[in-house]
Amino acid sequence: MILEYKFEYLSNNNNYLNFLNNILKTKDLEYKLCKEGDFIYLYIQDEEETLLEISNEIALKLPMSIFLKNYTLEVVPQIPQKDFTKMTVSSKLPYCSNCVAKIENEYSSNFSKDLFSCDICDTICKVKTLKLFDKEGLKNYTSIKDLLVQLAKEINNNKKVRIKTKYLDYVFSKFEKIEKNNQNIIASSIDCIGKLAVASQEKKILLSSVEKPSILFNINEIYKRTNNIDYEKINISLAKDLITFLLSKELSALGIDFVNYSKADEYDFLLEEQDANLSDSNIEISLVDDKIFILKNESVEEKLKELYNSFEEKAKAQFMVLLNENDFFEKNILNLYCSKKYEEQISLYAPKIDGILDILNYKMPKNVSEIFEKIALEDTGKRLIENYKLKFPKEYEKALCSADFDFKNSSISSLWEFASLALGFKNNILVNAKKALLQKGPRVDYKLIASDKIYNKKFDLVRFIKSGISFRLAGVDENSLSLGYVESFAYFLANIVDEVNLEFELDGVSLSGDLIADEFVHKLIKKAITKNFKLFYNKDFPIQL
Amino acid sequence: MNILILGIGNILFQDEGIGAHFIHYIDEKYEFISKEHTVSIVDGGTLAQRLIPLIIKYDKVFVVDCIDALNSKAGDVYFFDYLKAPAEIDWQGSAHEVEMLQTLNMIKMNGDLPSTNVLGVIPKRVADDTTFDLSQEIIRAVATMEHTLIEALKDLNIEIKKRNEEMSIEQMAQISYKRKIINDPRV
Repeated sequence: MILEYKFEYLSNNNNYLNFLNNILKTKDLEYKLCKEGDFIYLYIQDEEETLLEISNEIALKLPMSIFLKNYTLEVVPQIPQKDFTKMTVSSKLPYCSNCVAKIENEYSSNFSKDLFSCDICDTICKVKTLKLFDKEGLKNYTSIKDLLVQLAKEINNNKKVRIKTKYLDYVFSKFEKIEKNNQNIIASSIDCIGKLAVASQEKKILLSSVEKPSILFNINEIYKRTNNIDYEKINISLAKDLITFLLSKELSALGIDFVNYSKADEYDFLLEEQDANLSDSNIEISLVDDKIFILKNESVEEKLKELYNSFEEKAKAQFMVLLNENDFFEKNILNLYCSKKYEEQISLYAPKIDGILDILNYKMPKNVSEIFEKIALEDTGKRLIENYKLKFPKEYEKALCSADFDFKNSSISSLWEFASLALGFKNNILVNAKKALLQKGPRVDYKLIASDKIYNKKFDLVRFIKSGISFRLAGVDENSLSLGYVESFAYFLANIVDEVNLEFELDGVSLSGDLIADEFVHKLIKKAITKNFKLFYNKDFPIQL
Repeated sequence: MNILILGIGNILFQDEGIGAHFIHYIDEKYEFISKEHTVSIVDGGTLAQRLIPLIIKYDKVFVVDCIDALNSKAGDVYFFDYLKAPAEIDWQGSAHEVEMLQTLNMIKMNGDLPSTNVLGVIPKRVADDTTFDLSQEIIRAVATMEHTLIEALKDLNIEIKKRNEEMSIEQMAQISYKRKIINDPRV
């Protein structure tokens, strides 16, 4: 009998192949493993009873991964022809569920082994080489348990402890309260996360996965009110290696639910795994609409970094990496790069043009008065500006008197900032839009200046601002109009996709840039782009570097 | 049969937004019941060619828009088969009307045009402040537009029930930009 396992694994790394191979390699059975695109195939041939046992073992030992989307299992008549070339790979991940089961057991019996290793995920911890230093020098300890109890107490006493192992190098300190957006903390256990964040089951599962990712959580309303803060997000992870995992247990015992961690120079104690070369596998993700976005990934392949760095324009660099990761060099792909930090671009890759074509770059205006003057060049525009001056005198004056606009980058985020200034909004358009609580907003004009060419299109900034003023004069409030600005942007992108598709039949649309990882924006774009187009993203590479 | 009621118009230009306001008004006021047909309502705004993939999915389309016609006055209502448009109908009134005509023509040229009726009304062209207020002529015309559309739907064996009789077209014009349609596309 032959069993076929098909794992949908959305990463180009070989960690899962390695885990499966490690589980099976000591068994006396015939199996074959390979990776094809987004799928890992495993074929095992044996008696039915043995296959049942093996299946149970795989289910028990195979760690969860953020990249594993789905898997199926079925009986097949024969092993198909595939490239089963064996890869000798070793994962660099800090620890897995098998390590936890093993070390918890050993630790409870006063863990004193010299070396801890896991034969599934290849983790190694040279326990014997752990040295503790304070400001005076080397300190003695009797056992690992004794050492970690002591460190937990020091953290509880507001001391800073630097832990430097093969997998991390951070300074840990006691968490008092959230002091900034996206603050990095480690939770001592999954169960305590609900004390300060909105903890969905999906996110909890992801936290426990073998990559031990940091995940952006929304801070819960009770915590915000109790602590009188208005921050929105916090970056939470579980222990990032086995030492911090054991330390978390001791912190929990002292009633400490969270610790801060950062790269810092000042600390009171140093716990160091001697002769360990740091192999940072830190990964930060966000979960948006059932889609995992990689925000940071220290273990991304070198060749991708090199490819990225070989392009000056970040949008193109990101697009090239995306094409590479997805092996799209024979496909027509339109990339929508939406970034709060870098120059934004909409670009097309098609084998026919043998390269990348810029469809749209935004040109930034100098100041508000320049745009008001352009609006006033038309008869209806002149009347519009006069009415705006009459009905919103303060906003009009403030917008006109503002200095030349200092754009962070040529992007929609900058244009929203500009619109916010021109319309006299009190807050940022995206922030307003999220507060709007409406089913939809007004349709703001996002138009391209008429051109026969499909490339180097120009955005009509005059209509963009003019329609905003029109809605403002018609009585649409700030939040509703802001929603209109963000929602209409999503439809604008969808229009461009449709138009480009008429010229170059698209195989898909790729989304990249940090604005895409914004849950609100992503939902709107996904809704606006018709279902005829498949959406693609980077795999292991962060959505924006 | 799949039926689409499509409202067209730019709500920033008072009466020219009547197509969009009107379909929201109908959507709010009525419930459409049928075992054999579906009725979908779409606010097409000024989307024009982007509506093509939507329109071709339907068997019967009612386009609600403002139009121009020779020897007409504001508030006059016209209801006709798009392929047999009366000679006095003129689409040159505003940019969005021309775009809609082009859109329907493009679908027709591809041979995909479903049976299409236009419910058109002559707007009062005013050059005033930007406002969602409609002219009295258009407000009065809505009763005729409503009666015409409802009767056409009844002829297609659609059972019509009133859902919210309180809403007026004036009220709807103030909120249609932020209102989600109940009878969203079913196709």
